[in-house]
Formats: sequence, structure tokens, C-alpha cells
Amino acid sequence: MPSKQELPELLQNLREKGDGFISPESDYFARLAEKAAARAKEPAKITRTRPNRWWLSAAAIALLALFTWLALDHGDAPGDVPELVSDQPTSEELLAEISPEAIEAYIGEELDQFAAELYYTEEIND
Amino acid sequence: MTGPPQDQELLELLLDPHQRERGFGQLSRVYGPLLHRHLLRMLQSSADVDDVLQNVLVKVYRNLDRFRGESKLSTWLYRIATNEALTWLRSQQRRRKRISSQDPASFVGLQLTADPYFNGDQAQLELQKALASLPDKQRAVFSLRYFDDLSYREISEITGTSEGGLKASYHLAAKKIEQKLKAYAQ
Repeated sequence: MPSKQELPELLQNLREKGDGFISPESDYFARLAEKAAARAKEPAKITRTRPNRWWLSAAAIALLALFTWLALDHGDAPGDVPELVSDQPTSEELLAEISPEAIEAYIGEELDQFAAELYYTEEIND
Repeated sequence: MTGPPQDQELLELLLDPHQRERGFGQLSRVYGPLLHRHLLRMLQSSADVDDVLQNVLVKVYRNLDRFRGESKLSTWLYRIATNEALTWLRSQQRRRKRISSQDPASFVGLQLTADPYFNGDQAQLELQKALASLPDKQRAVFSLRYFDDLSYREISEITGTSEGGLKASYHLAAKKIEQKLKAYAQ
């Protein structure tokens, strides 16, 4: 029992009265045990965390920006670009051939490559 | 650590696949009321307790083989129930923040007034409202010590917090609650 020094007098007195809750009848616990045992025997559901649509959009934009930067930003003079490279389609042209749904699906599958920390904030499923 | 004599008998039933159902029913009868009351104090809503207690019992059933008997059975059950309650509270608070700006004490006051499992008087209601203003884990610590008379050592096993930390937490909680109750009395 908590010692007298631990508790102010007001709380010591109130403690005698209890918490004000009442307990259910024993039938309640028998029924609950049956339900819980039945549920426990079912295979555990694995709930996959759906990536947030906003994160998917942000990741798609970041990916697009990365491709654009790779295609444009090397500080080289136009004349320095080898003929072979200048003939290659740009990243925008390449991405234009891929549907937004396919990009979204790819990012969804590879999301841990983009934002692994998203998973750390989610609770673990059983 | 040894538990009450009934624990040994219960564990024998629970660890025997042919007797597990019977043992589980017995465990629910013996410890169900204790867990129900603990969850009521944590969640302060009997409707939520129905769901959470069922989740607790499912976890207990699924993890019976992992209970090594190093702590009392009640300590293990309290630990599962406390973790489940804290997880539930986190999810509920996220949801509640989105739909209401009401402070926790007022919310709990209204909720308990209509709860079939609460029949306390005004002082007990004020105590519950004061408890609602504590952080969830501190409320668990306070409840386990104040209402359930558990030792700091047991509470430490349940919550995974050091005994020193628990003493400080309990002391601060008692002070906060006293202030709230005094403010109400004036």
C-alpha cells in the first residue's frame, strides 16, 4: 500500500472510496474468453501499410526533378556533349511514355528506397 | 518469481494443448476482472475496454507458450494490457485531435457520466477527470500504485521503467492530481 508520506492527505482519504467503477458479471468474462480464443485461432491478419498518396506524389516529383537534373545539369558546354549522348531521348521523353499509374505503382513498391522512415513511425502489426 | 498457488494450476492447464481452452476460461474468470478494472482506469470508457480487453486476451492466448514464469502471471497480464491500452490511446488521441479540441478532462467527465460501468460520486468523477489530464503512461503508473497497491518493482516489470523513475512519476502525478482536486473544491 502506498505509504502516508507518498500521498497528500486528500488523496489518502479519497483512496478509501475506490475508483468509482463497477465490474461486469462473470458471464461477461466467460463470453469474452470464448470470443478471444476463437479469434486467436484465426490466422493473424497481415495489414500492409498503404503508402500515403501525398508521399507518393512528393516522391514522384522528386524522381522527376532528379531525372531532369541528371539530364540538364552538368555544366558542360553544348559542344562537349558527345554525339552519342545527345541522340539519347531526354528523361522527360522517357517518363512521358510511362503512365502516372505505373510510376505510382513503382514508387509504392520501392517506397523504402525513398522514405524508409515512414515505416518506422508505423506501429508493428501482429 | 512465484505467483499465487492458483497460477501453477492455471499454467499447467494452459500449457497442455488438450486443456488450454479450459485453462483460458479459468484465467479469464480469475484475472479478467483485474484487467477490466485496470483498463477502465486507463481508457475511462467501458466501450473501449470491451475491444481492448478482447485484444489483450487474444494476445495472451497466442503467446502463452512464450510465458517463461520469470514473473508472476498477473504481472505478465498487466504488461500486455498496459501496452495494448497505451497503443489504443495513441490511436484514439490522433483521431480525437482531428475531430475535437475539447480538453481530455471535460471529455472524460462527459463520457463517464453516461458510462454504465461508472457509478462513482462527484469526488470520484473529479478524480477520474484529474487522472485524464495525466500523460497516459503516468496515469498507468499512478493507477497501478494507487488503486492496485502494486510494488514499484512490479510496476517496473510491467512498464519497463526504472523504480527511481516510477517513484518520481508517481510523486509528480499525486501532486498534479491534488492540485486539480483542490481547484475543484474551491
